[in-house]
Amino acid sequence: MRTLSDNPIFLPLGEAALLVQFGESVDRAISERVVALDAVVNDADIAGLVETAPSFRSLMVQFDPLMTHSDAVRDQIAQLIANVNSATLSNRSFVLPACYEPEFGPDQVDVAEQTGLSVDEVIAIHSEQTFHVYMIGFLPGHPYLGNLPDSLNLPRRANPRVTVPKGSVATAVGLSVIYPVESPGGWNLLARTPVPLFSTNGAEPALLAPGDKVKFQPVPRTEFEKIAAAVGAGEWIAEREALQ
Amino acid sequence: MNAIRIIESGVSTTLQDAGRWGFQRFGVPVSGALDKDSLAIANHLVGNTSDRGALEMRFLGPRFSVEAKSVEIAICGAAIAGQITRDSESIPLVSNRSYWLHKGDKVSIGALRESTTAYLAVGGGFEQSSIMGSQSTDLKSGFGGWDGKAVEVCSVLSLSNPQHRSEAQSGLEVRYEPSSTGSVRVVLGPQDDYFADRSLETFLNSSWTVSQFADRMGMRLDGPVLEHRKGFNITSDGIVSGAIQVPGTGQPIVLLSDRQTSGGYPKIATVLSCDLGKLGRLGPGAEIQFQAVSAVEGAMATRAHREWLAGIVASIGPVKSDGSVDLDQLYAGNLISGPLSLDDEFSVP
Repeated sequence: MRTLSDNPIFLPLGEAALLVQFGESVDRAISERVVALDAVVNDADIAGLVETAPSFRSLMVQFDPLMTHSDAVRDQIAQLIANVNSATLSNRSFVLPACYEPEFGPDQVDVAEQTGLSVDEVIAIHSEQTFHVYMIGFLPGHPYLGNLPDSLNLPRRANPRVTVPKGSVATAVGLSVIYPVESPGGWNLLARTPVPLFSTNGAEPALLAPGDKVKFQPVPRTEFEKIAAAVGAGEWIAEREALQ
Repeated sequence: MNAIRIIESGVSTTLQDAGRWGFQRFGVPVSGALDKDSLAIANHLVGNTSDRGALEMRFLGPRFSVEAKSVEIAICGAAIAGQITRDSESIPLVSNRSYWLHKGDKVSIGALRESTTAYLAVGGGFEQSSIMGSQSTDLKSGFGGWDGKAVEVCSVLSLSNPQHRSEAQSGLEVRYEPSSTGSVRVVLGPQDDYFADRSLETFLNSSWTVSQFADRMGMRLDGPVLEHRKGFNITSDGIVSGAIQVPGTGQPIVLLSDRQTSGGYPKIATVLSCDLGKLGRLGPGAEIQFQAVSAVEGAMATRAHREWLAGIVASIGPVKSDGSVDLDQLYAGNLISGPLSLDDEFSVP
């Protein structure tokens, strides 16, 4: 990875926040720098820091304007960046069970037709990919995972669905997502996971965090139901393991 | 039962405090009061800290009955002509002072005037657990407040055990007249470079009208079309309340408390946090002009605003029989000890 100090730009976000931006695009190397800076900023003792939120290409830093101001925060972060050559990245990896039965992946056939692949190939390509968590957003606990192999890349659907079921695993615009709750959505639905991605209990309400790695493990319907029942009974714990 | 019971719900009455901070990294909206100034004053009038959860009312307040033995309430943010019905007697109910209510009292708040938003605080606050550190209702995510919903007819809202406090009623000696018109200060960016120079001028020199599309998530403004220079899709990035995004229609949307945590449209500017309360008070048809300031000027403005608010809170004192504040009691009494600062207890923007 490149070092943090490769020319981030500081953009104002009102008087109580700023963005530290590393690039314009969805890019793994840019994301890794955002995630690394997030860790460094939260480890440092920045007076008046309220919270940070990483997204694809920048870190949002929010502060209390009664205790500090944007020039001071910018200088402190620039100093941190200058003194850090590399930072620890998340080494968390998750294997998420996902059921690719047609009922749970109603867009498999569309995706296969539009990409010139078979449905089995679509499922294989999606489930063999190790995804990087770029950010959590749109809905609480909703991860943006990348990158989707080019062979599966399609735009969003022309007609978004009014309701996408909870746990749906979907693809579009070079990325994959998981809907943590029932929601409207325009992405191509390929599978469904029984794993809960968000809970209002606990200090870390989202299962995933930017920088994590995620792989989908195809499971049959029976296994999906079994896990869903265990989740319902509060007896299921996400499997975290070292990939590779 | 230590509670109030809702008889009529109002338009959208939700429990809101200063917001759910610290969880934007998990995609959790901050939520919280649209007008935190009025929330703070309502709370202080009943002896609470600034950011205690209170009922946020929009356009029309609720009617409720008191089932608790007694409770102190105060309404702040809008002008009202409400009433308390006690036995067969009717007592006028106005903003910016507290009232002690007793079991069996019925309270009607009615239409909100001069603002679309007001707060009803109760002494000791509402007995409702915090979700991720906040009582605020997130209507879209469906958590916080009472089951993530606005209050409904027959909702029973439990009260915390009220703190020991004499049944004196409090009012404001300094008039609280929050502005709900005129200029809103912004810091340009983060994506002002996505707009042609003439569109930046148009943005700052035009009068904008709050459209019908206005709720706790944001308000779309009607006015001249702003032209993008580099398209209107950007890679999503972090946003804050007050961020002004401009989608392909060229009509700006000011994002408010229930906004998402990221956005994929260029943001031309961001409203100062101290001017967000003003936006929360505006409704469809209201006019807004934007005035650009630097981020450092903005921080100074926020500091001045907080001092102004602390001055109003410091003027809270006992109400005399004619409805004014008893200054002799205020200065002699023990309600205020030394200069009052809001900073300690209201430390998030």
